Amino acid sequence: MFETIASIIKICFIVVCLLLPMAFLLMWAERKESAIMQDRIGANRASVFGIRAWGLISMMADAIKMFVKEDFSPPFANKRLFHFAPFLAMFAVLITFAVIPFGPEWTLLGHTVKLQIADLGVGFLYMFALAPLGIYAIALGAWASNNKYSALGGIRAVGQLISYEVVVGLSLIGLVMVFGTVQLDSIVVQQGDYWFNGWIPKWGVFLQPLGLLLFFPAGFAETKRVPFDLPEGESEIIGFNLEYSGLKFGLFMMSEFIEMVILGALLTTFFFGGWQVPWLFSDGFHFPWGWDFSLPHTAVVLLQVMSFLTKLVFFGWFLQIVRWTLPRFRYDQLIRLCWLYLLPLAVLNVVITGIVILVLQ
Amino acid sequence: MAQYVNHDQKFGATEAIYYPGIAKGVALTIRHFVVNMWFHLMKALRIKARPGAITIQYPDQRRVLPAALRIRHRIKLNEDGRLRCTACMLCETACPDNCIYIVPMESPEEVPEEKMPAIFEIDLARCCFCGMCVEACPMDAIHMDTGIAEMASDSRENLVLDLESLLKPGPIVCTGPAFRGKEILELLPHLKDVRAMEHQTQPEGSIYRVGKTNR
Ligand code: SF4
Ligand code: SF4
Repeated sequence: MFETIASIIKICFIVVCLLLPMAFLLMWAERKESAIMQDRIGANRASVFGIRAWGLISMMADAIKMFVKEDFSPPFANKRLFHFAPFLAMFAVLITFAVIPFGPEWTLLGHTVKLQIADLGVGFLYMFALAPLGIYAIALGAWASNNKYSALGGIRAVGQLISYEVVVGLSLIGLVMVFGTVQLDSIVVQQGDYWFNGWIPKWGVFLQPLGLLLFFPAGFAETKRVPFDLPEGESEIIGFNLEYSGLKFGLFMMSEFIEMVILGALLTTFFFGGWQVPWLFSDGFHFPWGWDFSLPHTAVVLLQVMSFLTKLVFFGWFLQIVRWTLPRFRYDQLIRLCWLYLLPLAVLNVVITGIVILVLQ
Repeated sequence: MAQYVNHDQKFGATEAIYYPGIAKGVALTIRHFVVNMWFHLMKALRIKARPGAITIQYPDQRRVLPAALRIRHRIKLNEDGRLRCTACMLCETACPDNCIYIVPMESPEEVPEEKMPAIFEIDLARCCFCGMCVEACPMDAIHMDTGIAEMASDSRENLVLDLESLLKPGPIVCTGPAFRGKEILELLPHLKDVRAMEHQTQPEGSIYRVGKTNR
């Protein structure tokens, strides 16, 4: 009983308090951050009673516009699949978050609550089994709109996403080998260890630097954001969501932004210590230079959840920076980058990791 | 896939592996972000600093236009408040776009000049703002120095400047349903301080007062 209620509360917390607001804020950041880094101001005209709230009101106006816009479906489309695809896209990204641990175990009124929706033993595999559902959403949506340009965009999208899915998986194999588990929570817990008398935390970024360098671009390609935005290419090459309008387009867009949050969460979980705060142990801070602060259990848990959220926000910011810095790849460059450079390097990473583990044993 | 791509282009070692180049680009944008954010923060804290963006927020702020800018025409009056234009037709002849239309008439007796325009129209929809008319005018009557850049309208007819609107330069009027019954200055309040708006006034009841032509 307690378990069920806790799970429902966690799901509500994740979806309502974390994913949707983060996606909303990312859309806002998309405009304001890009504006600031390009010496502009960004959307700031919409106001409610003269309050502009740094463009947040513009975002709300946008959301309202999205809701009340005409929801057009093309006359010769396969209606059922056409309506189904955006929901599948949203489903695929929301379900992925279930295995991501956003906090440690929390002892509350004698019960132990894991701050993770589903602590699956196969969390890693679950993620890579369900995340590609989004590819189906794109392929179905593109095909069902019965439009040649959409279909071409869909083919481009599927080609890109499947190629990069391989690299995403392979680039994390080294990490799984190092930690010896596919359970995400246990990966994060193991990142609480330290090297060199406790000076350097054993984060994935130090264990698997090459893995990070491979996972980052591949994961970025999975989010279909600008250097890799060939599936959409809204301005010139027209993508899979060409026929979508109104709320259904909004769902596709929203799922893309949530994908960014998830990429941030994965980077955090695998490479940047998840909810770990450096030198914060379950009974408080123990710095390697000899300072100690003891903290109550609840404060530690809150600090660690905050740490996870902070890392998430940082990666949201950083992904935007990258997105607004780089121009788009050409399609042949994109595929060449994947199959000729990233994939062999990922295999190499696995081999090197294996050798190092063997030598250290 | 692009057909004609220069595949011979050789990349250096740092470019070929992407990451250093990307890091350089990202560092540049982060620098811009941090610097601009700093100045935005200063402004939010009411500390005087340079603005964080180079944006000119148009309807609220107006860019200072260069003095030599060629823009919406006007016709000047002389010191006595008479029209300078003598309907010599030189500007009409000089205009490469044939957008000036003049019908001359004889002046009233008490005026030293012999002719004056009965109709003087400039069609801004055709004008290319070359300034030939200004160069051609022997009486220094036609000028393009109003500094009014608001020249959009909802119909072509509104873009034809008649003598009255040439004498009293203001923004182009819109007559569509959205604008009916509204003063142009109500819609574009920032135009109040455009430099040519109060430039010249014709004395009331002057015989040179020109009514709206009804062509
Ligand atoms: S600026 Fe050029 S095109 Fe326009 S009215 Fe004068 S001469 Fe004609
Ligand atoms: S050239 Fe000058 S004086 Fe002659 S018609 Fe044109 S504006 Fe009038």
